[in-house]
Amino acid sequence: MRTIFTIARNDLFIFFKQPGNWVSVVVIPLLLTLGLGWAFGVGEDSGPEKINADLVIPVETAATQRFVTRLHAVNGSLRLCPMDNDAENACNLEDGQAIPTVDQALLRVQNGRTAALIVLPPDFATEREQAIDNSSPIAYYSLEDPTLPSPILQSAQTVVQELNGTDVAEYAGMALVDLFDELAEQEGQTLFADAAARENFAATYRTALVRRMENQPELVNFTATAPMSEDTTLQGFEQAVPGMGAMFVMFTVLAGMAVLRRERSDWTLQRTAVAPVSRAQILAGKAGAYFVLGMVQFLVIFTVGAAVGIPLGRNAPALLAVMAAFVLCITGLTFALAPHMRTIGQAANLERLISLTLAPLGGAWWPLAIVPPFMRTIGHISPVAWAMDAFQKIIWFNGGLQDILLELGVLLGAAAVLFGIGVAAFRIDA
Amino acid sequence: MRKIWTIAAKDLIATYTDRNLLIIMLLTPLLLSTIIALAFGGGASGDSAGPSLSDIPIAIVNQDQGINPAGEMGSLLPPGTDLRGTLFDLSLTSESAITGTDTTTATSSGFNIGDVLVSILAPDSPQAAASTTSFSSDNLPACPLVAEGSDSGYDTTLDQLFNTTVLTDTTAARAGVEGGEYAAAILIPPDFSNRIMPFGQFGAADGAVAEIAPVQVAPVEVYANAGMPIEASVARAVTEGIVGQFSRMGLAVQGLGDSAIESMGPMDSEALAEPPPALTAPAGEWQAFLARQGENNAWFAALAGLVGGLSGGNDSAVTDENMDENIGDEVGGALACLFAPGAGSITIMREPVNKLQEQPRFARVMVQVGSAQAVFFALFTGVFGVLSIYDERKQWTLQRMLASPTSRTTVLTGFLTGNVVVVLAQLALLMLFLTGISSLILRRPIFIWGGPWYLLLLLMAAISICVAGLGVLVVGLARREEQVQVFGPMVNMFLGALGGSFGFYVPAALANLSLITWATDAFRTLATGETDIWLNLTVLAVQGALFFGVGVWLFRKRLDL
Repeated sequence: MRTIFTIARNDLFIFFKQPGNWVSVVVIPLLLTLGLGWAFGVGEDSGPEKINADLVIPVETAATQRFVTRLHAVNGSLRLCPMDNDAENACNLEDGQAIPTVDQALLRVQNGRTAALIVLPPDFATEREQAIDNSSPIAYYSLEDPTLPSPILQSAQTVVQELNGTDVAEYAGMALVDLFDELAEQEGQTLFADAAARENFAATYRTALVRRMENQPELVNFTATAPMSEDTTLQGFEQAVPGMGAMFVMFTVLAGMAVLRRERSDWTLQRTAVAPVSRAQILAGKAGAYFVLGMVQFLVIFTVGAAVGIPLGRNAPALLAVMAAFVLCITGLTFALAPHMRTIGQAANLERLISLTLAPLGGAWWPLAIVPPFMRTIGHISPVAWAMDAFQKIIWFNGGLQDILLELGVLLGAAAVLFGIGVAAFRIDA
Repeated sequence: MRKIWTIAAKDLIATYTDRNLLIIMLLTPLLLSTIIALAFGGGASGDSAGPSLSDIPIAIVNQDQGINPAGEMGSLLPPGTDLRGTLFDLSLTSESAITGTDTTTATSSGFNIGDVLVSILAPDSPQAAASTTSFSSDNLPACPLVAEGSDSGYDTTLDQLFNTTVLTDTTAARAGVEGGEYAAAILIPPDFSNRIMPFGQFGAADGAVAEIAPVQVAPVEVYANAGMPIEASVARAVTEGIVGQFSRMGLAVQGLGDSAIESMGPMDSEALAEPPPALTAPAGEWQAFLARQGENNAWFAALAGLVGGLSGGNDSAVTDENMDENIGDEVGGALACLFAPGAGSITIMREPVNKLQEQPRFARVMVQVGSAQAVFFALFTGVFGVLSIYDERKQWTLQRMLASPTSRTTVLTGFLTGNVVVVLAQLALLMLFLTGISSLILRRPIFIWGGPWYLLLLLMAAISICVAGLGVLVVGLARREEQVQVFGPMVNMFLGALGGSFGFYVPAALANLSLITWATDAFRTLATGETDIWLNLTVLAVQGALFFGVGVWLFRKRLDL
């Protein structure tokens, strides 16, 4: 056992003696994790106080006015141009002029002078019953990345939902009123003296609906186990810390492939074999060194996470168990591949290929929950996915060892298989 | 000049015949770009509305006590009333969950909106089967406000979206959320139906018809796990959508009540010619009462007609025939709109602003991600390509070159030119392969980079100069080769992180510090069909010139033969 420790300690000493390795294990992961977590958070908060969105209304009516009023009410950070332009020309209008045409407004979108363009159709205020077959949609133009949620589009959709709700309620209600009118007629009465009276009633009804809709209390109360939206930076770290941890563990441990290749090229591995140590002891010592390096790498990044305040769960042994299982799995992978590396360059490039593909595939860069099911399934080829699942259960859900048995089983099983392959292929004198 | 090109050609051939280098230069960025594009590009169809979710574990606890229309509304819906198969139906098919047109009805045992919510979110649960009220799209008159073929824009049904567990205990549901078993728990309060439906606003103790009070919807609570914000926000949005539909129903009736009362004038017991019957009185008694009131008031006359029609003129249960005859498809269809998710004539269409937005989602993602990955991996080539000079020195080939009648400047220029050419070839190959992968995934030939070709070439040349210049600068700054091995990847990773190579984006002010941002922005601009990339080209070229200038000056000092 002492021999194994000596070999491992020797390798670790060599590793940490090189300042460059400190940069690789501590500085780069630390800065990247901080940057990533911070970037996620700042992305939400650092935007301008107001977002410009052009609004083109071909025919102004009470309905279009209501759309504008509700849009302002729903999203206070929207500056609707040109109507909200100020003395400082916050709308970036040329010479402070109004937007005359859709084409000119479209040009403003393309030039980045406004974040979006909303064009209300000319028949926006048409009676809904008549409009259903022919009404044109509201057109929305933006250079926003269609893959990302758009606050402007979401706000407009909320208003549209409100307006549709009122329209539908009016439509259904007036259908009932007409039914009542027929029934009253059958009883020899009439609800409305003439068409104008019905129109008056419809107007009163619509006013009542709008009043009720606008004063409608919150329908759904959203609460969470911890603040979800207030601290987006923390949310970023909750993904970045375990994700970057897993990725950099792969970088650090898989680098062992190149080191083993170099030791063989430099004949130091062969020289070790001359000493009175068994092949198993050499292997165990080398694997032990990379296991420790992997754990150090995880601890560095999780320390950053703890320092910025992410909750690391209540179960430290479970957290350590996942780290250990993942590091063992990657160490196993290193030793399974190392005997097949012909050159240091091949080993180094394979290390980057494996790390940079298994990390995003397994959800180190983004939660697997947001990718299509088939990508989620494929993602679990990567040990990162199993580790992330387990980290999620511990950190986000306060899970314990009993909750991560499957993940631990998979990682340890993979580690056993990979170590088996590596041990069978390992030749000191190759 | 010939010597320079010879040295450069030697580097080009050496690089592209080294399979190991091709792994990192081509295979890795191609794999990475494909993974990211598949993850966010909508898969093979390439046009999905967005990242998809399925089987989100949620819990639902229904404490809603419901309302009993029979009790609240007298004999309008007397005991034994069964509206199944009439205007509305009770059995909901799970497939209809989001995209279908659903509706609801009451049974004799009461109207429970909480049950409806359960039947929508957990249609296969025993609780849904045993509920007194649920949803169905069968036998429902068509809502004319739902355009044919319209849907909610989702490509997943609620059944696929959620894996719902019905619980009876809110404490257990909260514990399940806190323990990570559920992404969210939907907690329906006891008075949910009673307060969302206007029936509950009637029923003053003396039987008087009271003015309909403003509805106070007891909110449904969505208790979410902070660790699953995306899943939780989906649960919230869906719950809000469904509850919003119910409120629409309440809104219609309440608004109608407001307006009818306003048109009739004050309505209290004293204003009536006689006191109304008890709420639980037979339908016939109510009809007679309403008819007497209706002699002077058309609304009461209409109500009398309705009650009479629905009950068949006696105290028997409401029948299908009575419903169909008295309500009819037209009014039924209008009422059905209150429950139809897609009802409403106002829609929003996202229109493309440029050619890129007209492309399938996969291609759009590929342009962004592929260009970022291509430039990111070109950075490694740029830095480590310069290191080949050190290799040449180790193997004494550099010294041999200098022993020949070749100046030091020519050798250095040859190496640096070779590096630029290697990067240029790498970029060109990546662009070609990325567009090939897109064509393969989208099953049709597609050139994702737009054009024109000369600008693409110019852009790749500017990037190559910039990237190779950065390589010279990094190598020039480092004292030893080992330092390059450490600081090279570090610089590249930071530029990659700032430039969006890792799938996340930093604020523009920071992003602009990375040459990757300028490069990907230019690629995206060309893909949109625009050609205005001159600023990007200038920034890249100036950066490249600066990097090269300083780098070569430092490197010449470092390169000790």
